[in-house]
Amino acid sequence: MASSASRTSLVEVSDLSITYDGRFGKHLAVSGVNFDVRPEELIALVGPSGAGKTTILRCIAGLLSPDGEDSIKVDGKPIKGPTEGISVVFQDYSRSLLAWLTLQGNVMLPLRAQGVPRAEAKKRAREALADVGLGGKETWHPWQLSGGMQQRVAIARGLACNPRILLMDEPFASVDAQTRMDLEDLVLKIKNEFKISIIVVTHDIDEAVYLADRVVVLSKSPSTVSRILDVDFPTPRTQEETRVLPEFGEIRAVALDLVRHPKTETV
Amino acid sequence: MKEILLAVRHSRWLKFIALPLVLIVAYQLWASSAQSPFFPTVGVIAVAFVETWGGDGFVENVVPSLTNLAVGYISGVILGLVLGVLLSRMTVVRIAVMPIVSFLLALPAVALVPLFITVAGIGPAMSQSIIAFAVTLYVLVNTVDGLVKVDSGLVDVNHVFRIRGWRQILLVLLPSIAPRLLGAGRAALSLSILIMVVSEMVGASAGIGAVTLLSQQSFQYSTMWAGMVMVAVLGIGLNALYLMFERPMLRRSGISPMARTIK
Repeated sequence: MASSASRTSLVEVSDLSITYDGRFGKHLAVSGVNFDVRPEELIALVGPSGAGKTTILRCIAGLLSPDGEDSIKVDGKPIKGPTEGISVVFQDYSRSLLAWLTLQGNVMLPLRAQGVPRAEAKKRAREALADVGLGGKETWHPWQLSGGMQQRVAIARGLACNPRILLMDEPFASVDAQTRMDLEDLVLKIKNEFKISIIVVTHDIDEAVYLADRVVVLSKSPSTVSRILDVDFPTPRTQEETRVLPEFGEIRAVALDLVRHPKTETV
Repeated sequence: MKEILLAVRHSRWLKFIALPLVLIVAYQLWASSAQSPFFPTVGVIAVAFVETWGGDGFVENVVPSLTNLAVGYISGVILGLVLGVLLSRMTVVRIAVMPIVSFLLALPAVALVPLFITVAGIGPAMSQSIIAFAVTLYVLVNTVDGLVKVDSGLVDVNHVFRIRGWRQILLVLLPSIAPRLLGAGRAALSLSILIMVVSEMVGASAGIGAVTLLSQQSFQYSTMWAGMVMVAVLGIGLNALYLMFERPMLRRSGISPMARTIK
């Protein structure tokens, strides 16, 4: 399944296994996961709790080492830690945004760390903040904003780095349902406007089906890929129209069943 | 009477000084009736205060004391921060050194005055070095403790966005432990004043502590009281100054004045 996609794939995850040292010795969290991410594609990674979705994402982000050195390739090259062109949006914005910096300062920091001159970093930061709907608030501090707005800042910070791949770890879990819908539409807008690939880890099946081009469903831990579901909704799309489509219900039902009653089917 | 109580209830400032004022008045009433040479009246103390610390007295004693305090405190803070940051990054050295540091911290610094006199003689160098020693230790321990337990969310951010080196330390790590460091700085300030006074009592000929003890030994009790009042004024004044400087820094991180850690 992977080989025909490999020439056009941006990210290739081949036979990914992850073992980490748990409290009671070594724990095999992920055992042979295969999927790929193509350019301008949004992959939703779902699965039962503890399946290792976040673990896999952290591996791609370079925060964790997989068991096999070549398991994760970007542009055909194995990654060796945090990689240029990959940005991350974490679940807990209150612990990943810096309270003592302004929104502008927060978004500029990674750019400055990577050697971008101050004036250009500031310009890119302001543009990114405007892109996520926070134009005019550059000199505010994160703690002056609501949760949804803080997560927008985190997205802007990821965007400003001009990534090719955006990794999002349950980005809207800490946000209320209505704001979640607005943020989901923001993600789609960003994907289409900036032509980036996105991997979203989420517990929310509806969100996964709404956002994704393909949904990768994991089995229970030690996880493998249960199924990869293709999703084809029109672009642009609205929440109201899409969620009532019969296809939405069908795909959602399949995914939900797989997540709530995990089998050990391997693809 | 009712009006006074009501006024006190509604003014925060009045509430603050109400009980101290009552106590001072009570002391005054008692002292003027008891007429003991060891406990002069408030008026006598006030006069002695102005005489001892005004004009020449200020230049000869208050300025040297404050200088020692400033030099000792500031160098202690800087040294404590630098060493703290270094130790937080060097795991092996830190594990080896921390037990010694904990032992030194448990030791009351003033007990080391004789040792410091032996090494640094009598005079400003001795006071400054023992203050610096105590402050360095205190700030170092708080810095190391804070940095070693940095929130994993921040560690991830540093890693993923490749924020390293001085930028990581100055813009991410140290600000993240700022509340703790500011609290430590305040406690260290009080400690510094204490050590300053004691070190001067034991090993100096000029300075607030020296004057206070000398006047007690030469039966000039009103001057002795003036000395104690001066130390109190210093303590309260410097503390208030520190708070003025601390508040905007905490507000920048979104921390309200009420939520401060007490050491």
